[in-house]
Amino acid sequence: MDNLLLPIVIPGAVGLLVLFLPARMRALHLLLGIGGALATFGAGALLIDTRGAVSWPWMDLGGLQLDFALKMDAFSSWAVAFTGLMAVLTAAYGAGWFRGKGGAPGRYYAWLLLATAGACGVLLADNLLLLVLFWELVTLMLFLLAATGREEGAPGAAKAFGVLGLGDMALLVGVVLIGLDRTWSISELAASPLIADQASYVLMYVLLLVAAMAKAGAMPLHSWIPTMATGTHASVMAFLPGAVDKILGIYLLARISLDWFVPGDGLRLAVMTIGALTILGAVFMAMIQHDLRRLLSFHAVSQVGYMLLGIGTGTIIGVVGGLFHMLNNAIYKACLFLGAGSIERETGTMDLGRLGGLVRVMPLTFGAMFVAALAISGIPPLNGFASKWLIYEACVAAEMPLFLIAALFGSALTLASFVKVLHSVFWGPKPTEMDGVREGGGGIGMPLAMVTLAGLCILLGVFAAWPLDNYIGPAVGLEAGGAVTGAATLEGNPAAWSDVDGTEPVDRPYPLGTLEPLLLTGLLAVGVLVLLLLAHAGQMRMRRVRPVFVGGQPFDRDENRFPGTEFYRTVQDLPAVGPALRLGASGQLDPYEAAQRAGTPAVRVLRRLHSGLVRDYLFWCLLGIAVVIAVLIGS
Amino acid sequence: MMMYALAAVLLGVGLYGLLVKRHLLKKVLGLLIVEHAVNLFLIQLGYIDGGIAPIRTAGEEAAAFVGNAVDPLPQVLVLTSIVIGLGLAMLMVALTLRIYQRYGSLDADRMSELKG
Repeated sequence: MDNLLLPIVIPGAVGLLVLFLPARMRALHLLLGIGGALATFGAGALLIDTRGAVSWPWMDLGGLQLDFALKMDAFSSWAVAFTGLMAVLTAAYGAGWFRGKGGAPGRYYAWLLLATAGACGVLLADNLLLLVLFWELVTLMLFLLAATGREEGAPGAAKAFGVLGLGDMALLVGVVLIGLDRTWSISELAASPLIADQASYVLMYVLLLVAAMAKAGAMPLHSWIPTMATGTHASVMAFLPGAVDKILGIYLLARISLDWFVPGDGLRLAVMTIGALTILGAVFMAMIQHDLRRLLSFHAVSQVGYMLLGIGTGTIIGVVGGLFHMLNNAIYKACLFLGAGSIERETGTMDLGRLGGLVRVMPLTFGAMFVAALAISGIPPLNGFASKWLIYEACVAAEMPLFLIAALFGSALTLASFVKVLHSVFWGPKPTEMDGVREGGGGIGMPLAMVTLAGLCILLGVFAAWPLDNYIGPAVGLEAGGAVTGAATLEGNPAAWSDVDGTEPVDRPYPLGTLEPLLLTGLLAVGVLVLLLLAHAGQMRMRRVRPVFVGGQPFDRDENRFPGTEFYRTVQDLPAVGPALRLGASGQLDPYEAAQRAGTPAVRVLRRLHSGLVRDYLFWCLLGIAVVIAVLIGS
Repeated sequence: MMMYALAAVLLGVGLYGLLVKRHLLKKVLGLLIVEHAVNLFLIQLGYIDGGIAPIRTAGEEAAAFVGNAVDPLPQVLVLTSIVIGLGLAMLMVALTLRIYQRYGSLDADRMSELKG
């Protein structure tokens, strides 16, 4: 029994135990669910400084070597601990969600813990086939979680399973190609990465890239996230597509781009282009959404673009920024999804046109969502700013002004669409149907999870140097306070991505560009203080309230509202953007829908063959046997 | 050779019943006939013309015994198959009974709920 097994075995065993407990032991389900998640987080946190590898031979499948090999390095260590933390918060939130409701907490916690086990397995796996197995486990649990408890979750779950299944297939094929060509051990692969200059290596890289993109949700393989969002528990959205799937997808992307392969300029440019297009395309789609969960899910797609862009630059600052953004995105996106879940639980709707004026009645939800919305928009001094700043600098270092513009513009549009969210949900006059809404129906678990995440948004923003120096920097082989070299590698790997801004050490006051979060926070605090003092000294009235004059008529709250759904409607009429958005909204660009259209005629033929009569099936069986006999006799 | 032909004919009769007849009991009978055709065929495989029973007496020479005795393996197999066949027949009849209670009919062509 090795310590490295703990983050996999604890959630796996507790998850299975919860699955087989009788359904009426609800309290025990909750206890085991939260306890198992806490134990996983504890194991991850205790092991965060452990480095090492263990391996047990498992089976040799005729050339496919499957060993149970685990390895903890500077990258997987904090990723495992963070996955555990997200599981704890989701479990705590789920306790509130299920309070006073029907539904099956047992299934929810079982799938949640098994998904955590699978995610930790992916992060720790040191054998390519083992990685695929754990990767599949997470996909399966995503499907089960999405379909648990709600009828309307089924189509989204099916679509997610279809798109992720395509990605998983690409992963399996890519991994088997690598294994047959070189080695099944990830450590050995990282010791001598494949130079992606031949067509066969480029093919392997692209296959793995497809898997990473499908998992993380980059365009055009993102379409499962918005569809799934419309019918799934908010906490499921927060945990899997919001946090863990991002971690896994970007983990794989970072591994293949820095550790397993040495991609050429063309591939890097392709990754960056996909990233930039994802940022802009998804944020435009988000702006015109009317459903809160769907809007958030497009942002979940859009933020992936930053990670792709950062890792795609190949500079150390870009990779660090991309990985830090992965962490930050998981935090604020989970916070936003959980907030949306609280709003839905109390109001029963996600329609931005019907919500409004909830700031007074749901202050904790508002506070958490406000901080997270500012963080996702890249407002200093929050964590989203810190990681986006690194990515901006990476674009400058890589001399890619177009990508810099895309990233900055994407941030601005993100802020714009969150102004819409905050206005429609929290500000403005309250419609009468929202009158009975109160916060806190779910007990302490739901606000606790949200406020913790919002607090992390602030802490990781103000003290951004701490995770960068201690965890994310070492993951790319950067010593704390050390000098920067141009080429980024994982674990100080000697021959990874070609340098972009020169391999010579660059002398900078701070190892990661010009970001100095503490100084920035101090300056901002001083600025705000000065402003407040000025306002106080000048007797400035910050807020004036006057009754609205509507031509002498009695004021009707419901009629005289300005719901945020009308914001940015004009975006759809812009010359180039409008048609693209309509095309996207109609599903023309969705590979899943395209496959559906292509597959329908084939399915129709097959359906006609299904007569439902015993004798027809018997006939097919006999025909098959006859063919087999004919082949056997012939050979 | 005649016995092989008999097995083939029985197989044909059974398949005809299975494929063509619409009455479920006739299908059951057809399947039982197929089963016995296969049993007969297997027995034939191990049979030696004029062979002795595969029981070796003390002092009998091994080579001579193997040359004369029929192969016991198909016999054991078929014995098992007959017993399993009995259970199968019971199961099929019981299911047929349930189908009749559910549909009020034994016409296999009217049970097409798996269509499409």
